Amino acid sequence: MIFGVRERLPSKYRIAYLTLYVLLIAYPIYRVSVGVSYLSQLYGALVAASSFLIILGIVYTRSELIVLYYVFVSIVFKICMVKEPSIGEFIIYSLVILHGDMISKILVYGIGYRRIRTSVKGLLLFITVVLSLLALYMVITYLATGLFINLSSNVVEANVLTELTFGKVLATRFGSLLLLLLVVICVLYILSHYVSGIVNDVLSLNRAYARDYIRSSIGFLWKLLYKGGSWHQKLFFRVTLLFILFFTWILILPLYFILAEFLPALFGPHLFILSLATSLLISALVYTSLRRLLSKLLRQKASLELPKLRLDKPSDAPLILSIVMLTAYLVSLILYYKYDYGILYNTLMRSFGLGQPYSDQYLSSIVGVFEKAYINISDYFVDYCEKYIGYLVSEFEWLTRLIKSLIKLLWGR
Amino acid sequence: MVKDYITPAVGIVLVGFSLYMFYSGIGLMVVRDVASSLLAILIGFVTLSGGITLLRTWAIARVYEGGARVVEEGEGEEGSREGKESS
Repeated sequence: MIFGVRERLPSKYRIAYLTLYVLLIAYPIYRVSVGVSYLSQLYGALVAASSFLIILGIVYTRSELIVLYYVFVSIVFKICMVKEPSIGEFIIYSLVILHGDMISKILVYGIGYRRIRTSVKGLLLFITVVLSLLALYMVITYLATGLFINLSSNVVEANVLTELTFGKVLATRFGSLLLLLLVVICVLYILSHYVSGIVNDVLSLNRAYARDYIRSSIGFLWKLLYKGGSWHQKLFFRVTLLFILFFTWILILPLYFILAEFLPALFGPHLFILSLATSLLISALVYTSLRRLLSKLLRQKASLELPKLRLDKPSDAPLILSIVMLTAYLVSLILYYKYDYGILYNTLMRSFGLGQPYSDQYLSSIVGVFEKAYINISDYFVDYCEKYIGYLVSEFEWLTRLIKSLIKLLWGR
Repeated sequence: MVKDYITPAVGIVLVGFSLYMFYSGIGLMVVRDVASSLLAILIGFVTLSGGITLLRTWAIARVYEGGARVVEEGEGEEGSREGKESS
């Protein structure tokens, strides 16, 4: 970077920038060499071995190699040192923030893209996944509706005011039908928009499109790194970009901390590298998708032109999906009742509202287990949300401390 | 003329029937008749999506028919104008 734009810099800036750059290289090297003695042997050896990156960077005038060394060292120090971040670390981080080329390069070449297989095996796997998702979705809908009904009746009975208002509405046939209609519309909306949408998308998605989309998203961010004419314009774009990446990283990192509680092997440099890679991909996709959406919205069109009526062929996906689900359910019922068609006929009649309802002990115990598990997951979910927010707060505290110290460092007290 | 209204009528009947099935499904859910309630809900989904598909197809077919009629009329007018000009 600095070596690349050296020719275009005015000489007074060049000298100042070079001095600063040399200081930025020299001081952390001193700090790192002092800090290595605190590290365990393995990490110390790693840091010492990676020092040749600086030599290579200076010899081949590639500042990216120097930055790579700093990224590596800062990750090692972040993991090993329990104490407060030192001034050297702040310098390292400031370097990392200002010179993001290499981080992006590593991440872009490192992450690759998820291959979408179009083989029969992959398709079968996909269909299994979708069907199990649908089954899970049905179970959750069933339980959620039951819970919702229980809760609404509890709420209505508990409070005099709600009993007077909602209770009266819900007690009527119209009110209960309205509630039912709302639940059904929600379910159908999700089924037709999301589930069949996912099915359509994945079935019509080809490898080339996914590859192009991810490549163009990352390519866009990569271009943004080199946007701008003069070096300070470039610096502005880079800082903005790195800021976006950094924030995405901070939002994602707590999830990795939670994941690392279950997989202790994830602790260590993997945690940071994996989370950085994921955050780069996510921020690239989100940023470019938002940009595409906004540019579509902002494109001006002549107001005199009448909007065209969309006359697409209606999608049969919801119908096919529901028929498949009904067939699968009927087959499983036949297997469950061991080809006893009398019981099946009775079940069918009961579902039409003809005949007395009959509660199967075994099936209702299974539903009870699911219900308990669902309530447990809901309880744990609150815990995980709190944990996530806790990690997030600590990460943001760390960020604000970093920025404060950076300002102090750059502008004096 | 009567045929035109058979499709939407069937669609509306299917949607209404699906609502009845959902209602019956919820009633059975409350008394924990699991097998029947799930069956009722799934039948409700099939009839609801079938009814909506029928209604949508009918509406789109009507719009296309209207469009085709307009185009035919337009072509007829142009043809007669050309005939007049050539004579």
